[in-house]
Amino acid sequence: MNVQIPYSWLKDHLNTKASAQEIYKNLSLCGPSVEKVETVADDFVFDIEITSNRVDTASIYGIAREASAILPMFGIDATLLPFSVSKPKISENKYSVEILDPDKLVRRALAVVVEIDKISESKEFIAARLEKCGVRSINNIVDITNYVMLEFGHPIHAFDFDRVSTSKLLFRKAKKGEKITTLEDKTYDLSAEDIIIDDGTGRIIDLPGIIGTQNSVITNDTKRVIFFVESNDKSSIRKTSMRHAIRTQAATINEKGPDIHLSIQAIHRAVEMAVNEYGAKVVSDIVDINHTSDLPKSITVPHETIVSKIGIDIDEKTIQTTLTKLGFNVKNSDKTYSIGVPSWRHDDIDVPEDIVEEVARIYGYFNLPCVVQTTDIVPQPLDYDRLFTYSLKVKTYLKHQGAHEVYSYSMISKDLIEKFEEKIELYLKLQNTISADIEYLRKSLVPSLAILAQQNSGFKSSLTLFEIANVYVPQKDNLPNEIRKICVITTEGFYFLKALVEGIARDIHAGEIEIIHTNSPTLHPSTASKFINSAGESIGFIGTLSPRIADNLGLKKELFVCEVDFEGLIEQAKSINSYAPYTQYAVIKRDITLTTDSSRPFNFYKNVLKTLPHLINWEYVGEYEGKVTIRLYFARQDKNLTEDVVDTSIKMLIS
Amino acid sequence: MNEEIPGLLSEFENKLKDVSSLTSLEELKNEYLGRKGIVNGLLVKIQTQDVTVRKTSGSEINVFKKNIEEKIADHKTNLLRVSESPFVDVSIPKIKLPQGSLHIVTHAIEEISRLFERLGFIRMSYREVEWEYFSFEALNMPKNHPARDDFETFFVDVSADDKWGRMVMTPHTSNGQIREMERVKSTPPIKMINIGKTYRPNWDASHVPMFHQFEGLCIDKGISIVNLKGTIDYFVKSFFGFDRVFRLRPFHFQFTEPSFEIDISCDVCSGTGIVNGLKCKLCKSGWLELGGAGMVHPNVLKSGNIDSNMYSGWAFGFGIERVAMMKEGLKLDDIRVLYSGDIRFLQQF
Repeated sequence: MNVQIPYSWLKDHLNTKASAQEIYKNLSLCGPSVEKVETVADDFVFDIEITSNRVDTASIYGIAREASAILPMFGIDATLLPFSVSKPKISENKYSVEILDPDKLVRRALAVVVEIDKISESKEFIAARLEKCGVRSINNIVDITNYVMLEFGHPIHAFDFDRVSTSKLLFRKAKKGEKITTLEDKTYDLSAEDIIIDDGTGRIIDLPGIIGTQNSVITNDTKRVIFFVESNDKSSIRKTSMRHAIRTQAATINEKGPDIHLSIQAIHRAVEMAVNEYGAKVVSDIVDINHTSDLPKSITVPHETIVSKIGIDIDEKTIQTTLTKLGFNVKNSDKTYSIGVPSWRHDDIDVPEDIVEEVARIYGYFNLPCVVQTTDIVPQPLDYDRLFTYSLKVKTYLKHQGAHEVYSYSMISKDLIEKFEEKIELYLKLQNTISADIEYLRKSLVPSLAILAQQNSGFKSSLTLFEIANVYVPQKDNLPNEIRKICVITTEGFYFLKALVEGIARDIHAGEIEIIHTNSPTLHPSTASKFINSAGESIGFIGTLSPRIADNLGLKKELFVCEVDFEGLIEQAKSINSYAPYTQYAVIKRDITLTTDSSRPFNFYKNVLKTLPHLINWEYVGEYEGKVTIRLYFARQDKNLTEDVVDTSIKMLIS
Repeated sequence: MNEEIPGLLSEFENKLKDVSSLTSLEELKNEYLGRKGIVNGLLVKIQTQDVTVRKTSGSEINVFKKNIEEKIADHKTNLLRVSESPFVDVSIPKIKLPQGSLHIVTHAIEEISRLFERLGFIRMSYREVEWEYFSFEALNMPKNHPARDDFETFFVDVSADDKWGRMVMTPHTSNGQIREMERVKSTPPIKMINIGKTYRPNWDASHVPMFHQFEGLCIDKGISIVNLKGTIDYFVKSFFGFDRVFRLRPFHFQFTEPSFEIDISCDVCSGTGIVNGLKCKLCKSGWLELGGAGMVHPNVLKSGNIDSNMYSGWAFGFGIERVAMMKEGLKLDDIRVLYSGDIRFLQQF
């Protein structure tokens, strides 16, 4: 959350000559982040980010306290002015209000009734200050509650006394299905977990700590006001506020547990303002129910812990002074600090590291040196090493063949899955997606890339795209299997795509990849094939995208797609091949034409080639109507070959 | 006087005139001077002559041989001399080799991994779909903690696990901290850069629902804030340039204590916050937010079964896209283009 702090208001509590610019510059280095400073009328307003652990700084006073510890570190005097609110005098104790909390649902609650001449506009300076803080002026009483919250950081509420029928404020859990209508005129169905205030008749008159209700708030006719402050249970505030998505400033403060001691100061301050500014009269006792036992917290931290975690020696006196300025009560005995934690830091300071932070930030991170650590060697796990090394090799290889790398979202749309004619139930779905385009966890990279081929078709006539990324295969009662895939799509032809995959295998020395026909609902039957790695495992598929799916996608041209399991692809990869000695003797070259058909595809001959005696190499020359010409190279390692030995060898191929 | 020689010489000169290439010159040279050439033929013929005649004939043949050698050498020099040749337009783009591209995110990941490898950090990659426990509880963010607001999260629509909670798209790479502690069986040193995909429900010019983070984690005996500063200093200077500076601002994260945000000086305004007398549009008063960091919280070490009395550590988590975009010269004004898959974007890198 962010708070707006006017410079002039800050100076009500901070005695300093620091300029707004100096505060802006220096506060961020040691404390709250001042995101910007703006000139507003004759004043400056700081926009300050408050982290969730430091709700004590979400106020004018809290920032003044931080500034009083930080500015002196930059050589600028700054003193926090004491906070003097006295207990209000009761003019006539003629009304009473009762707070009931039989189930101890809140930690502390206070209430007092004041009588007021009339509900009016606020005084100019109050309205102006609220406005600088981004709060709209409503009327004199409501503005007082907001003013006090901004100044001290504790939310406070005002009821119309006469609208609280029995003068009772009863804390209870809501019944499921009970409804409230907030002062913003919105109605909510409550849950049995929500804490509400009942006026003793069963009527709900407040969602405490979060928002007031329409039936009890101040109106223009209000004559008597109950100022009411409660220290709530922060986690139930959080749950109710999140459940109903009511994110008021009061809720964002109360869910972080503001200082319980502030509640009494806040109510005194509100009464003081009503009396001093608008002539209000206090007409009841201050009722105070308190379920907390006031045990101050303390923590013991050895000097050695502080200096070893920071990494440089900081002297004991500096540590003590720093902590004292921040409100800690420090005793140093034998290089161990016993540190009393101030009430406003009660929830924030738990472990010695919290004290390390206080010392280090005020000392100034900018004052610390830069020292790179030396440690023992940490070995890189081999499987990850292979994964990253070969990923880069493969990507680089594809890039040099003209392919473009893509990163696409892990989630795809229902529409895309349906265009691929897949069953939606087989996919993991996001519960809270922000767009139908990214709703289902993909199980293949092909749809993501195929749709890109369609989207890019107007910009480039031939296109090859690839991606290496995980797909997510659901598993029962477990996280999905995250499987790394490589997908390549191209408009440049089936044999080009096949050559790319074979080329990858060659480039990473993974042995030979085999391709065999298969069936696939996403591929055209003519080319649908699977890849087998040199270990004999099926690792992926290749083919022409089925014409029906291509049409669903609006593709005008044939698209060739392949997807291979990346681990399977690199399983047999080696950084270098082993050396095969080449022959010193004559090599005999022969061109042979083979007749292929579906019963005897080229793969058949390829397998025979593996067994031919003295064949040292072969290459593809050309193909015409199923007649495939290849060139064979024969040689021996130990002597020259004779032509008739070669002839015998070749007979094995063409018989 | 050997009467054959003058005829042979004029015949040679005639032939030489027609020689226009080094290959035919070599052939002519062989014809006359080769092992079975004309000159050697003459020498064979005189073997039978009387000694004194043979001597005279021999020296005449030698003169003839030298003459031929010189003429051939001269002719070769002439042939090698580059003379006027027809115009060749070398500017025609006749052959175009294939030119693909790698994605910016890949470029950034590779550079970052390389920089940290020099400091002895291993590179890891952990789960993208994760249990709530590893993304939150184990990182000192109990259920319903307000700090979870800083990590808006996508949930997967399956029933929650009794032990591990809901299934999430990991909103940061910090789940890798606990996973790495488990991998090394809670035995430091740990020096890891975890690079992975992360997900948050925001989608506009400066946010994408999927992005990448790199998470640094270093745990050993005696690791302190000055070590974190040293490592960040090394990274900022190596990645962004030696003229860039950084600062740590106090911040709060549940999984680190102390916690910081790290800013680096803006390259557009050179850290002044002002360009040509106007406010710099890119940064906040000269500073750009790099990301969060801090000293590993003792509760996080505890989640990983590491004794926080013996060991301490630092951690940071930065966005890959963010650091890539902060690098001088990239000038991307809309982050969504990274994931558009538009070839007009891809082919530029």
